[in-house]
Amino acid sequence: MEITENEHYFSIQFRAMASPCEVLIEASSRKDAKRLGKITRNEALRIEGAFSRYRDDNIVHKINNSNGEPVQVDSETANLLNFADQCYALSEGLFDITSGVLGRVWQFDGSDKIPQQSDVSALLPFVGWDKVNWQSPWLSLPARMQIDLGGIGKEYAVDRVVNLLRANTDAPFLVNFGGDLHAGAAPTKQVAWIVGIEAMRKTADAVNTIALQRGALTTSGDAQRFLKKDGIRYGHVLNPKTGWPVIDAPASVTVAGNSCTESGILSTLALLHGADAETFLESNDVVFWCQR
Amino acid sequence: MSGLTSKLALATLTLVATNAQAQDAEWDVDTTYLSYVEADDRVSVAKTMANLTRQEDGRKIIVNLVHDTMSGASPTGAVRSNNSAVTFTGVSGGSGFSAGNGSDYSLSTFEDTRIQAGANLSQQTSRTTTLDYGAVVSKESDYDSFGANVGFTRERADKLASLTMGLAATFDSIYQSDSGATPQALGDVSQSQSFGKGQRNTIDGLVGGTRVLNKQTIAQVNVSLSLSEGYHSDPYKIISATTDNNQIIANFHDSRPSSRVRTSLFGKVVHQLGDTPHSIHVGYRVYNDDWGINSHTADFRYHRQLTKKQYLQPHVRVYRQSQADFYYRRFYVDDALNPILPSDGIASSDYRLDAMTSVTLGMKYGIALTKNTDIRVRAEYLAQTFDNDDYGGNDALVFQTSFKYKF
Repeated sequence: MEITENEHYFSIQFRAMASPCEVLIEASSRKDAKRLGKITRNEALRIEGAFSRYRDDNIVHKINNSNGEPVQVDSETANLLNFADQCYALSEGLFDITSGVLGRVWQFDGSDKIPQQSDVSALLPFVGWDKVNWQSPWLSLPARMQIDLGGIGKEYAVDRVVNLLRANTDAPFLVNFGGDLHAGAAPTKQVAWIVGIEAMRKTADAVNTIALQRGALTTSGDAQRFLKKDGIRYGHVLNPKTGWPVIDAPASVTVAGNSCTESGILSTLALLHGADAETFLESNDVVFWCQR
Repeated sequence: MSGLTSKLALATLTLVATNAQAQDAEWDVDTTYLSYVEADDRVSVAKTMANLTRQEDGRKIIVNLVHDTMSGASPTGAVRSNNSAVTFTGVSGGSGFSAGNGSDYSLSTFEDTRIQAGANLSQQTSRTTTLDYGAVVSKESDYDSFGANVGFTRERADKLASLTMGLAATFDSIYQSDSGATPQALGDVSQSQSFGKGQRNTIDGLVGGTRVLNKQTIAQVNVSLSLSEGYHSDPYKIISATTDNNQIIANFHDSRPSSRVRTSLFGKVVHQLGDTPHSIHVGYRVYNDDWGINSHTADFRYHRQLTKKQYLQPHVRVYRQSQADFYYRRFYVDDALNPILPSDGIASSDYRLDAMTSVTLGMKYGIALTKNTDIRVRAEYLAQTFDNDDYGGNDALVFQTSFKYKF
């Protein structure tokens, strides 16, 4: 964990959830910044440990290896599953935590290796939250299906940390885990937190800076994860209904919201709407910035 | 997709806020100190209670500890005599009734300590069902008790109604603190013949339901049945046989039936007043047993939220019971001064079996000091009026202070 002192705030940096993590905080002292940094890092590591699908000692592993047997989950997992359940319903099936198995045939390494339709079709029977029996706290996941909470985990971690820090300090702060960020309160020593949106492509209007007083900003995009064949760019966001990447999605969608979890879902859903991303966001009165 | 953002905002709020509380399993400690003082210093009780609650995924554990110290003088049931001022002292209920008719047995002084420990585990077994198990032991110088209970609660899927069933078994052992024995039922005190400890076994069953009637109102109904067999008498209670002009001829030990069947029906409605945080709680209980006691209890509370963190709760309770079939204020004597005893050998002059009216007025104040700490203070005034008992009435004051802390 690294702490640097800036003019108006301390910056605490560490790595977790395969991302650079940062807290900006108007702490009273370096010692206080360190204390709050520890709280942040512990919570980030706790959530990563509890919900990463790359571990073999957590509930996600237990569920993914349950072979159709019902698994009883703890209350925090139950809340996350309830949330995923609601997002599935609200997005009419576009947001689906079981879509991860499609990654077996889709590797977005910048190459032109597009899988055969038959390979994709063979996986579709194992995708679909509607095939899962979820009766909190019991989850029955059919054999060969997988869940992946990665689509909400990082955003959830940010919001959780915001709650924790609010309970532990009165100082204004901003939490940023890999680009998903949430300002707990407006800074007192400057007008706002200045947040830059990374330029995706080298076009003139690509870079925006946003003056954020409080609330969350999340960005979804295809970054460097795509396939390109016959002039078509296949971004890494897969439509769980077809098993194919969404075509003509913006390169990045940044959404402002009350919490990271909320804006994270909206930015993901926007990408899933492909060419209609902006229309989708506008019709839902979302504050957003798109880069194409 | 209309309303997507607002629905999503709500879902997020539920996710993030709910977890802020239930992140790690925590122990809640709730300690209470209660003092009960009867008006003429007859009985005073100091009670210290601690409840430890731990809530984790679908599971709740409650450990409960109680420590009581009781002291004072309690009416034995014997008629007051002017012959002497002798009272009895002993650990719990007076020791060694000395022989000799005409002594005043009407009050017995005591001092006792009771400790109780219990544990209850409540386990969610599915989305809508919860199982409860518990056990409790208690010990004082003249009473040992052990009990175990199981319960089952089922909520309707929409959580608007629930059904609870419970079963409990209790095993009690009753005796006089000094001798460890029980006196012969309806035996003459001056010839005090004793037996071993009295054993009593009790089974309690309860069926209850709650239902949300509308956004502001929730109703609860419980029906309970209790069956007990064994020793039901009170080893300290005494009935006097007197002449018409109140001269005591003899004193007899308490003698109650060897079984008891009790039923009770309880209903309660909690209603929130409009959009305010204030609420009223109205409860009513009807009780009946095969000893001939019927009772009615009406209970009313008004919960007034003063600020976000403070509330005041006035409380009124009115209780009325009829007397037991075998309640005798005294036995009379025939012309030869022989006591006329009941033919079935069942009799008690325990004032608690007398017809009685009791009114309680109380006030409770609660304040949340910090996110993890709250304090409650309660004061109650209790006025009891007995229809027959010599002591006529009893006034008592209850003060209670509770302190709750979440670790």
